[in-house]
Amino acid sequence: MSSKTAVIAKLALRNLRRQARRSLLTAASMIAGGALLIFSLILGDGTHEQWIDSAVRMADGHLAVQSVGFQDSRALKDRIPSESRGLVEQALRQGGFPANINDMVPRLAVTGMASSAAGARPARILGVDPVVEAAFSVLDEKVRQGRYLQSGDRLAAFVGIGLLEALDLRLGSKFVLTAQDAGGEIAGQLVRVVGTFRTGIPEVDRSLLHIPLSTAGAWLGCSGDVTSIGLLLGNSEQVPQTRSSLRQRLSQHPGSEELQVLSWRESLPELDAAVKIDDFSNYLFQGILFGIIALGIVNTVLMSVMYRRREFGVLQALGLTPGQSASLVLVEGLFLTVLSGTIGIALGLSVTWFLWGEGLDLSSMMNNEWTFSGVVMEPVVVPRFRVARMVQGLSFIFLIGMLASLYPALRALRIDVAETMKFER
Amino acid sequence: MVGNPALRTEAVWKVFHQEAEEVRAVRGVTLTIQPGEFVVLAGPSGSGKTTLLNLIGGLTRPTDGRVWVDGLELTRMGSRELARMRLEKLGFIFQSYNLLPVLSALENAEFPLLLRGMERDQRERRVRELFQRTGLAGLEHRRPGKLSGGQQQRVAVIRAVVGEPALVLADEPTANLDSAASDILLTVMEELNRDLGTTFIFATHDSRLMERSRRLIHLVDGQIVSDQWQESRREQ
Amino acid sequence: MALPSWWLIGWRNLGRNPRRTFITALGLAAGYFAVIFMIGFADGLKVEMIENGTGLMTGQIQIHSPRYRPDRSLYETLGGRAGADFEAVIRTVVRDPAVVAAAPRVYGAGLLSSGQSTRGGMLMGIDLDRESGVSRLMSSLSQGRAPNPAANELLIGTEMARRLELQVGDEVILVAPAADGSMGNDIFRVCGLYRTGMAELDGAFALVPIRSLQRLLALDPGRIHEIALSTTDPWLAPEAGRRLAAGLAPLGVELHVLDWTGLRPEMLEYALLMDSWYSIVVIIVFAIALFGVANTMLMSTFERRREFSVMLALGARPHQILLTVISEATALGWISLVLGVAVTFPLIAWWHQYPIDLSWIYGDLTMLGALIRPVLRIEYNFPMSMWTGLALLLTAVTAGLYPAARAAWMPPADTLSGL
Repeated sequence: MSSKTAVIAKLALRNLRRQARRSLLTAASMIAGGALLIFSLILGDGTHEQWIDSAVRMADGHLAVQSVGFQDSRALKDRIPSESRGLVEQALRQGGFPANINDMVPRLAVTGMASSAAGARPARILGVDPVVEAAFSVLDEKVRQGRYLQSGDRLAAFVGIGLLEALDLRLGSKFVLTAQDAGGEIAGQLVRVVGTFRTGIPEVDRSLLHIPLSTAGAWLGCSGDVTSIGLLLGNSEQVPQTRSSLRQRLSQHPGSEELQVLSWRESLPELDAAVKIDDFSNYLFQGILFGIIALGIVNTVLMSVMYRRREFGVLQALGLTPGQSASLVLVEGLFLTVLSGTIGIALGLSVTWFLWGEGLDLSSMMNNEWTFSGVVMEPVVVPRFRVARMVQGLSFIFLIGMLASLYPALRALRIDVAETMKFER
Repeated sequence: MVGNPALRTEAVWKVFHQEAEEVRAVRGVTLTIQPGEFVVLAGPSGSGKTTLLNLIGGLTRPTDGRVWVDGLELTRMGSRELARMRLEKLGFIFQSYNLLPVLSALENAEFPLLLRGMERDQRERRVRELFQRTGLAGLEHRRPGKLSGGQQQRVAVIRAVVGEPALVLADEPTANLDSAASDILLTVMEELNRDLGTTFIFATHDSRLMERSRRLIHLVDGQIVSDQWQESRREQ
Repeated sequence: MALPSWWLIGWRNLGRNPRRTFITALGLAAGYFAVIFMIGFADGLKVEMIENGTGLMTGQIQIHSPRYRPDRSLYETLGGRAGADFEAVIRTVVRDPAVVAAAPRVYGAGLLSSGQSTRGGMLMGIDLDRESGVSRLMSSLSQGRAPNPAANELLIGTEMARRLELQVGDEVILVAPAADGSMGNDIFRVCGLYRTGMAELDGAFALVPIRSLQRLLALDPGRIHEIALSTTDPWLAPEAGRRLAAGLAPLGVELHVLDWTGLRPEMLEYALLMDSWYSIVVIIVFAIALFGVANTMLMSTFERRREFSVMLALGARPHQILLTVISEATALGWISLVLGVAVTFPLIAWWHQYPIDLSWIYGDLTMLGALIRPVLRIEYNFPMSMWTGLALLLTAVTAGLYPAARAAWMPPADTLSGL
């Protein structure tokens, strides 16, 4: 039996070689398709990772520990009291900080109003620890004027350029923040502009400002409390696993039922949607493209069956079962697709690696800043090479090869030995 | 007649190289055939008959020697002129008919005229007349697949003579036919030879065909070993 | 006509292996479908973005005081602090053939307080009747009713209502800096909730009758910040904007007319980049399809090499053989095109009419600040359909070139001898 398998494999290979030109043309489309597939996958992954990275740094991290109600209410009443905060930080550090957590930031977020003599604007006010926040956030890299917050700052504010302009402020100007404090009263706080930033995302630039956590706590009457603890991981793939281990650690502590661990997919649903629509359209495009390639393979393998009707007749007369004839065809189709698909993927990988390994610069195509669900698209896309994608690509190609060879194989099954032997051509 | 001979060859050689082996298919053939002749090149397989026909038809170039068809020297022609010469001076009949399967019998037969750019009416008139003469009337619009072997070969004969060539080359035209079909085909060609004065050269080892030729040339190992005139049996 | 021209021979040859012809044509047709579908999809996104980015709230054209943007200062009303006869401006602009409607707007910012909770928000004063001709804000009403233009009533977004824990009928206190330097504050009743799907709007904007907001902000009835206009087609807006700017000059008021391409240049850039991306899609798809067609043509000419030899032996010229093969490829291209069009357009029309719901894959998202709903919206793009058809035919012909050349310049005797 195994010798027959070997014979079938050998016959399949020889047939492909016999029709070298035809095999090559079919392979060419598969190679091009495979290269394109892997190129678009790793580039897409790179783009998405960039979006995620920039968005989670702007928001609450890959993972955020919050009180159960906060995601909906966004109100101070659903904050993490200082005891629970200590609990979380202790749980994280216990037995060593998990290796893939790069940063941990406590934040106190409140929505209020910023007003100056020139007017008032709604503002998203974030109380932050200046030192750890500088490592976590990208805002400190987006300084337009002045500087980011420093430890020891009091009554200082780092303000979006849009908000600054709307309130007609400049460096050193004072303005008033108004919001509802922990006790439910409207409270005001005078702060001074120490720096401005520009992210390019209009909704961020015209509403966000950072103040020191201590200032925020004192102003809102909840010193030591936070609304969320953001965690920055090495990359987005580590999210599910880290999240479950974190949940497990927290669950061992009393009082943890008030807390929940949210991933960026939940805290940034729009970003999640943007990643999915981008993947979706890519899959759609690749699906159709490989449909076209598959049709080419069907044709090549089918013709090779038709040309070899007599040969199949002879093989069957020599004792090959119809099933084995069919598998011969299947093996031929699979050899062709998997071989060319692998070459295509290797080609796609190496081309991407050598030409754009450091990043594909699209800045010539983008004059304006593009924002996508609160993410600024970087003009340089860095491809992201992942083994999982290569396995996916290969499996997909294998599947296509299988499907494309099926119909010709069925045709080979239906070949009538007696009929073909009569043909004298 | 002061005209040119239909065919003249002068010491024609054709040497093939097949995997380090040198095959001398035609070895110094010198031959003259006058218009209106009905000649058979006979010989065992491998004697060089087909190669000689290909040389005469300008399908292969001789290794040495010269070939004239109707006074035009083939050996000096470029491929463009050769194609033109074939179109105007030569007709071909093949063992396996070689009709174009996508064309009807009539369209196949008028193909050379089409290549010459002849008007449709004129083409049809001439082809239909030949269909009458060869007993194919009524089959004009059938595709080759719907014709018997003998009928297909008669269409091929019409295709060969329709352009009034100086010379018709036929390579084993009866090999795929049974004796009844062969007989009809030969009669048709004899009549065309007699009535239209078409010159035929056959390469064959079919004895019936040899018997009915008027000039029988024997080839052995690429050389002419005999060239004799004979009284055709059917000719009175 | 009965003339068996080269074209006819090419065409008839396709019928000799109908299955192969069909599969090959299917490949090209699938390529056509792929391109039109992908372009329709991308166009859908683009149109969705532009429609929502302009139609939801912004309008296709806006008219302000030249000093209003980008600070959006409360004081910079049309015609400066004195105000202007904005009704005259509106009367002028709606006469333009491209303009559908125009509506005045007033903006302010302040705190909204429900008693339990307080949040900062944008206050937008709208003329209820005219606003519905410009934006979809009023048609986004999801609960309750529209405010009474004379009363202290307002609409808030569902998101803001949730965060302030407000219901329809509840009272809300508005506090906002006013134009006279004081802090305006007043009690308003929530008469309804709206939902656009865009968190930025639904969580931040309160819609107030224009007169009520002017009272709160201490603005005279003649003082407005913006006139928003809708046009029959977003792409007519730039031209209309230029016409309006010229037409408004005689009014003697300092005005700044901006269409959406000026308000949102990144949207225009995105739209233009999409257009250039289309040609890349066409090239990729047909480059892949090219191999399939070339293969088929190669097989079909290989099978017929004897026929080509016969034709050559009969005196046909190589270019005539070339022509038959090319015309076979061209005919194949036409079959594929007809097949492709027959499959593509009914599907596109169907999906255009009944967009596929994709909310099971992803939720609402925003692109360049515009809402994108989770539906597979497909648009027609007739110029691209034409170009793609042309590309398909070109692909077929190109694919035929190599097999044709091989057929035309084969040595005739090689295949004839021994037959």
